Amino acid sequence: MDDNDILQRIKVDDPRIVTQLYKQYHGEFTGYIRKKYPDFGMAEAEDIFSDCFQVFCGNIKGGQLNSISGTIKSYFYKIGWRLAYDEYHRKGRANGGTIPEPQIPSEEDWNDKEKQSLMLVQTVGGLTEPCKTLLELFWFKEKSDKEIVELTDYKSADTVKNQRSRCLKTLKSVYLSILVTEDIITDSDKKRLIGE
Amino acid sequence: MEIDDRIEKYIRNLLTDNEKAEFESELLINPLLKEQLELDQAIVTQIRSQAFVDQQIKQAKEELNQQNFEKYIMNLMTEIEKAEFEKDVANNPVLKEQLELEQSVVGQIREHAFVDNQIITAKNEMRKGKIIRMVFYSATSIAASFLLFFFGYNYFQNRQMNQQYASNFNAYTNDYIATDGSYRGDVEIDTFLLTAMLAYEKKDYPLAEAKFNKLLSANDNPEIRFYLAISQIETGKTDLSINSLNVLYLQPKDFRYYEQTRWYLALAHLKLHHKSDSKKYLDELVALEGVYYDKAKGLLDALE
Repeated sequence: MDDNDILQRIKVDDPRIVTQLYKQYHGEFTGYIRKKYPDFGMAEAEDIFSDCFQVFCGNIKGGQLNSISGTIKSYFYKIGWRLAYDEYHRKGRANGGTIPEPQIPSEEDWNDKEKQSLMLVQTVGGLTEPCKTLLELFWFKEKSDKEIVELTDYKSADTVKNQRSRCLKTLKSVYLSILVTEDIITDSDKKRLIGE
Repeated sequence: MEIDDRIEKYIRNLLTDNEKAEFESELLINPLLKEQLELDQAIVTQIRSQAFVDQQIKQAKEELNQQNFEKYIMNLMTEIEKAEFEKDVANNPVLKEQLELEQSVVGQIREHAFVDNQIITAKNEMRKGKIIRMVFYSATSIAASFLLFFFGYNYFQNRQMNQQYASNFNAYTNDYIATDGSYRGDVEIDTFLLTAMLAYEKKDYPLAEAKFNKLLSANDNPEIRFYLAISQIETGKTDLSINSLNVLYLQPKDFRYYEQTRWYLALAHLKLHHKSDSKKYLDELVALEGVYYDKAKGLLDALE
């Protein structure tokens, strides 16, 4: 199975493909992250590894990644490097002085589309309850509002619909605000898109 | 219908043909609607993708934990791996609890295997006693020593096979149908199959076996037969399991559990101490260079 076969299998929702890839690269990747950033524990290295999959699969399913020029492994390392660097600085660990400053990933290696896709991954990844469950049930498991009532504590389909619409609107608003902050769109673009 | 409603129904493919055609015509002349649709599609794609990835990563973590537990319990980790693993366990109470449970289960398996071996040894010794007495009366003490060596060697071999079986056998995780209510497009799910799979997932193998048998009596289905074979191993009917797997062995290469069939045939034969049969299937898996390559090679090396 070559790397482009893997892309196809992700596209068609192969129920084992991510599990297999995760197991295949887990040891090497988390080892690499922990070697580069000795202050990271296994849980943090695993979170970064999981986020790499989110970016990778999100790009495949969103149609931004249809074929791979290098290898999946190198793609992962590129994303992982960037994510680890951001996480390292987010936590302010560089200020300790005892940890060597890692090499900064080159901005050239990180185009606008990839930045945007990472922002989307992080926004959706930041979903909390009850929005996470509601949106997953509706969009991933393709349940109707009525079926969601049966699966949750909501009392009516209307309540479910209102709540999940609010969740999606908030999610869009957060994502667009990040794009505004990063100068990818303007504030008026944001207002126009969410109908304000 | 409100704009948001139409976008939602369009993405979920819930518009009628007329509504869809009307919506698509409007998209051509309304750039804002097109942009809003693209934004919603991007977000929905990411929600779907993240749920898909989360589900599989959860599975991968469980499988990796299981592998680590086994390696740790069987003392197959390097010193560095062991130190890292112990550090992770110390920092993670859930992992610690799972490890303790695993240790207690493996302890039980070992105890049973030990008792089984003692019984086999006792039986062998009783038989051996008769033979030795005959040999003693009719032949030299050198022949008797040879027999002692032979039985000792057999005992060692069986013990080794029991250990290898215990450390390699895991009931195959259901990836045939989703039992959580989600839908997999390529498998038609009926309620009876769902309850059979739920029993299988809950490790109620006698119930799963009965249900799989009932399903197979109505319609032959190689995938279901595969899960029947695993349930049979789990309920101690290893001979029947080998029969089921032998039927599957003839399936073409695109059979969903082509390699898995060979792997479980190897393990079932190992359980029955059929070393050469087991090695035959392991050799085949190594030659296939598929997902079982590492496991088959490792087991082959251990059996050498």
